[in-house]
Amino acid sequence: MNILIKYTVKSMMEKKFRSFLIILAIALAGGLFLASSRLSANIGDMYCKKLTAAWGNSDIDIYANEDSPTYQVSLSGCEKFQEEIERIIPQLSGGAEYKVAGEEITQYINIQGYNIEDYLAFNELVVLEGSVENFSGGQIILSKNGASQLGVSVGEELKLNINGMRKITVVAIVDQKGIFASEQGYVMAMMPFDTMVRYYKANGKADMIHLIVKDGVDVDETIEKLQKVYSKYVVEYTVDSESLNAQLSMMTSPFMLMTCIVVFMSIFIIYSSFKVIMLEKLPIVGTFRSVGATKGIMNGVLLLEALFYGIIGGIAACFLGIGALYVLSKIMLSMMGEGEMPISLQIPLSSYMTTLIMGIVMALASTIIPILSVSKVSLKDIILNSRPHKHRKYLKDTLMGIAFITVGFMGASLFKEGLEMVSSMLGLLLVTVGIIKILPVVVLYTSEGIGVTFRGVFGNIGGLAAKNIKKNKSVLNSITLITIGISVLFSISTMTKNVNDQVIDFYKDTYKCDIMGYTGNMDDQKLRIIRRNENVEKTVEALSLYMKIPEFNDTEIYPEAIRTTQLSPDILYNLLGDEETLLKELQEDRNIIISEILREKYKVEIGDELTFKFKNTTRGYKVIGFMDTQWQNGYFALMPLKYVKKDAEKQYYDMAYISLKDGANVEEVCMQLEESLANITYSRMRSIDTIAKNNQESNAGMMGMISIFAILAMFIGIIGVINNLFISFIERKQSMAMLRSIGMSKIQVLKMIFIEGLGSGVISAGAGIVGGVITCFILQYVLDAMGAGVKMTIEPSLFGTYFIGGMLITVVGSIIPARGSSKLNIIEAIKYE
Amino acid sequence: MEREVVIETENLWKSYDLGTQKVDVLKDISLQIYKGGFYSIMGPSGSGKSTLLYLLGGLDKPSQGSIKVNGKELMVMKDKDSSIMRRRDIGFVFQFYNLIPNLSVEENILLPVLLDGQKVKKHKERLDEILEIVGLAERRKYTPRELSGGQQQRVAIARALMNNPDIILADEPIGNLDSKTGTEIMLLLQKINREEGKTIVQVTHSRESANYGTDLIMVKDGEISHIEENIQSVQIAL
Repeated sequence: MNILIKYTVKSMMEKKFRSFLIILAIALAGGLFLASSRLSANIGDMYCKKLTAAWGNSDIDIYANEDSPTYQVSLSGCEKFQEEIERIIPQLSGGAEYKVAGEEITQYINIQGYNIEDYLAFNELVVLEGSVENFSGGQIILSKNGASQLGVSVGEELKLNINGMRKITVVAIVDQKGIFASEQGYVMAMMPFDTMVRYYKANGKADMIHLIVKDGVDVDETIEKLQKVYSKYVVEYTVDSESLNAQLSMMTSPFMLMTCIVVFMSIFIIYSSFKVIMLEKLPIVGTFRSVGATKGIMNGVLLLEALFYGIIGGIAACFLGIGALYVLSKIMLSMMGEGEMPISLQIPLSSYMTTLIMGIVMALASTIIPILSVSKVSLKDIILNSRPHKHRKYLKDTLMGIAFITVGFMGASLFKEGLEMVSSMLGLLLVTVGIIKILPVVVLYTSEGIGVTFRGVFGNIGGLAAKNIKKNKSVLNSITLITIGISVLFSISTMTKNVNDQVIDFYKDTYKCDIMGYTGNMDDQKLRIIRRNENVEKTVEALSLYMKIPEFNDTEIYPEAIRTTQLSPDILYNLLGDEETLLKELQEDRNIIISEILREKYKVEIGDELTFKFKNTTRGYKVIGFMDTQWQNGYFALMPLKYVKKDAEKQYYDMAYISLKDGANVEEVCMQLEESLANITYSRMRSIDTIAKNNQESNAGMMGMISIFAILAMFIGIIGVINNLFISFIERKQSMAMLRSIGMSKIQVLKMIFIEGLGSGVISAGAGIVGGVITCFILQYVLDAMGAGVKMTIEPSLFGTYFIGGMLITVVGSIIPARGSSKLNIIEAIKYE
Repeated sequence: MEREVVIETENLWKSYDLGTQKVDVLKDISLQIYKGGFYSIMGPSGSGKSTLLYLLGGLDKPSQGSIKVNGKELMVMKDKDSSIMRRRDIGFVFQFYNLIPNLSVEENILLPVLLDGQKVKKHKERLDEILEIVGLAERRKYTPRELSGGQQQRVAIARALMNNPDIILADEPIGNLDSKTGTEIMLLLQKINREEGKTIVQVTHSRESANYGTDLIMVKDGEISHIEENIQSVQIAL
């Protein structure tokens, strides 16, 4: 047995390049698996850490929302929970403006009031200058950056308007940590809680209460109990990592899909590599077996080799995965607008172990078929090299391929209600397998056609090359890999182009207004301020809802309640029918206009009533019309603001669509509106162009990352092609030598090889593009399941690029067998058949 | 009447480097092969007989010396010219047949014509004639995988004959066949030699198969130990 292991290790060392290819394929697939599987959890962890750093390590927060009777929360409710709560940390926020000496600008200061002992118990404070001892009265703590922006130092006295003019002394300058970590675009400051209570006449109340629960206390249970006491306030986890992770996993699911494709291609490569290994080792296997090694021993030794590759590849995958996770996290955070957040990688030991096991399983699973197929060959046949030839079952494969594609499409389109993501991804996989199954018959017939052309253009050598394409299994494997690679890249670039184009079109088509405006607690008073701007033509206030509809099997939809009289023609929802009449009718009663997508999906008709369960009441809204919109991926409806406000007991709107007079400078008006609202509330005015651009940039980041995966898949595919060209060359060494012996010149051999490359390039590029188009159709279901709201339109402009690309891969790849053939020793190749 | 020389070697040496040692496989071989002869090269394993055959066919280059085929010096020939020579002037037959598995019998036979860039149609008659000679007319559309060893060797012989070369070089043509099939192949080669007037040079281990030829060249330790001319041939019994 030792001699066999020694032989295995030696043969791995001798075939360094091929061993490298296998290990690289495992490492890339495993590395991407590690990175994409950890991506959402890692970003979630980093995000939670950031939130914890900013808002401390408390467990529960209590604060008021628009439905609460007051903006401030009394601490007395918490005091009843002495057994569960370790510390009650009240916080009162406020703001001030400070005119920087010698400069025209005014700095906004966000002031957080805390008792210093409480703050230190749950958050970080690193004092750089001054002291926080005896922190009381009109004292303030600033960060290093804040102090520098205001141009002040420790001991300096500032005059600030904090609900009246106050003299405040800077007692300490601290590092950018804790609440100061998120200081961006404004200055953050801390004052004593009691002082803030006095300034704001808050009567001991806080606008936020942070609670630290005792060890071993069930946080969910405590939240439940507290909610009963603070029934009109929000009581929740300080950081809800569960819902954050759920959102993140939606964002990272495309990467898992791409990883699946990469793993799939890697298995194919390892499988084909092992076929070469088996082919080369066959005489040696024969020798070992002829001297007494059993089939079991030989299989074990070969599996051991696969195990070595799996372990080494798995370890390499762990290292590669760390790098990949870093890069992916960096891109993902910048997409989330958190580009500045420092990257920290949290990879538990179990993830490394899973990656290692995955590498081993990939290696063993991909090698078992070639190993078993050799094991079936009789000893006599191995020694005499007279293995029986297996005929390919074209009809069976083609029928299976068609079945796979059909089932893939049916599965993706039929399953709904939470299963659509799984079914669409499974559909994508089935379609890919179906394409692979159909390929041999495509190659068979297209090579016939190509043969006629090649014979005419390149003469008899062209005809011979076409015959080789038709029957050589390794050439078929190369064609398969390039076809999958091109299909993936083609569909990804089609998707990227569609997303970019449609984001811009969507905003421009849907919102005919100029600005989307958000303010804290938007009401008629704030709207009047907005309308007072001389450039504002019209405003339409809107309230967004998120409701489960029993008639839609409790599916969530996202209706928008609007004041309809002001709608047309500034905002366009593509209402079907007479827009004015529909909008008028909508306003008159509890009516609703739903999207065409909802109508088709749930077979809704005019006059049907949809049930809306509000907090304290349940109401029916009658369907009066439909609209053709992709907004909210079609899970959208329009409702009358008057009734929704009443039923949902809402005092405020969420936002306003603002239309400007002709010739107004949109960006300037945005700034003017923000300024005019600054004294009353926080506001954010964004032009439709800016929103579309931001969305496009964010999508570009996501698409860029998916493209990186697709290119990696193609790269792995090219590795596989190189591998297959090696196999092809090894298998055909003897035929080439024979052709040379009967008079084929070296030039003719080279010509034949390159014509074969060209032919297989034409076939694989063509099949890849067709496969890409099919993949685009199935990808539509994946995108729908992800709620991407993108319609896939095939881009014929991409055909040429991919066709030439496919041909280049095989023609350039042909250099490998071409080099081998020029060094071919005819006699050795013939004699050691 | 003076006999015409088709292959001539002069002071032919072939050496290989085995590690740090230089091994002379052929030593100073001077030999003349006459037109119409059926030569058998015999000798023990490792004596250099196959190497000599491959050198005569231009499949390998000698370390030293000269080889002339039909008066043309192989040593100075470019790859293109030596390929053309192998296509037109020489036909090869190997022990393991060396057929292209994915081509049919007739496509395998037509390979030298295809490689020569000639139209297949022009050679239809010749193909039919050769298929008749080797007795495979019925199996012209079969692939090598569907044929027995003896039938595959007949295809290889047919391929060697296709371009009507003057010389056929055969490396142990019956080494992979049973004795009955071997006899059939030897008789076929003898027939081709006698009826088609082809010069045949074969490498063989067996005196019995050498007896189908006209001359015997004995090789030992890389040197020609002796040559027997006009040996007693087995008579055609086809």
